[in-house]
Amino acid sequence: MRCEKVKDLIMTGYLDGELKSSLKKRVDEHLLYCQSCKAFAAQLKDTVIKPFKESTRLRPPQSVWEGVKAAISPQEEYKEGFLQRLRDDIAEIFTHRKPVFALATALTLVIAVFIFTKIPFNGKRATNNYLQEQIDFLTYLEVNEDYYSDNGYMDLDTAIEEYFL
Amino acid sequence: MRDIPKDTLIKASRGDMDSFEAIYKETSGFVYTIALRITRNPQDAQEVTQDVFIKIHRNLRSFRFRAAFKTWVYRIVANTAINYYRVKRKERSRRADFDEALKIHGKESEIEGVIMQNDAKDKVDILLGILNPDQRACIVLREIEGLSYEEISRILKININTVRSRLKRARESLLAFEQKRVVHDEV
Repeated sequence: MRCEKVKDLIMTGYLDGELKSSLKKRVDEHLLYCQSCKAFAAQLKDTVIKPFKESTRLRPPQSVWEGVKAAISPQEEYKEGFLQRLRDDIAEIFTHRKPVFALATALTLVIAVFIFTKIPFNGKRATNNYLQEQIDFLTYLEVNEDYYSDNGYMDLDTAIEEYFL
Repeated sequence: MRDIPKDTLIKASRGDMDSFEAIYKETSGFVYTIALRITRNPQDAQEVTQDVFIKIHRNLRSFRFRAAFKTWVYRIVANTAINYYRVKRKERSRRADFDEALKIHGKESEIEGVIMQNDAKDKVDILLGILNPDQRACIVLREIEGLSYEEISRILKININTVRSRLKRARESLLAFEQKRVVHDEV
């Protein structure tokens, strides 16, 4: 790898620990024998990076907090109105309380599946009755071939016939 | 900065001042440090810090927890400080003629005082002074806050290659400046 390219990598990803391991290994190998690039890396660390790392974190004076409080308290005091409270509660359900919302949805689904699979419905019973009646009727026709007599009279023996006729 | 409990953020978003004060105490240090390093002026940094916390208070209710709270605060302070610095620089350049006239008529001792004041400034501030605000923000987030390229790109809404190239150019400038300074000191 050429020195120019190595210095480029040292300047960014290498010193910041943002290089892929394979590329970092190649730079490391280069630095083992190239004194110029090694000196460049040391100089960069010492003069450009070290002063920032050693700088202390500062704190703002108390007057800043006083200024913040004065700016937000009178103008932006929390509104206790019903609509405001309702809006916040709805927003909270969809934003802050996502796990609760997800759990409630999952529970609703489980209960719905249980109800649909375990509890028999009247509709299903009615279908079974209808099929049974049809089977009985066909059997009856086969046994009594003179079911339709000349006088036009016929028995109303099944629920479906009673319904339509 | 330690992670702020979600409950504290929710309470603060609903107007609880004690919770908001807890957030302020936890974050004001890094907010002020970034503001000061970008604006390079304590008075401006105080105004930026105040502005940042007013923005946080105003927008906390719409914060959706999609990003980390810290990332959100970093974004607000970096953008506020950069914009503030640009506006102030324009204002100051408009006053340049007036200042120039003052300098010409100023006493010799006063001019020396300014130079002394510059010498007394910390090294970090002097180094940051040779960078443009975009480079400065990248350097501050990387070197002082120790953020990764990925985090910086999310905060400043630029791609990682731009982060990399801004850091590279900033370090090239800093290195050139240091080399010149060494030569100057030797002479």
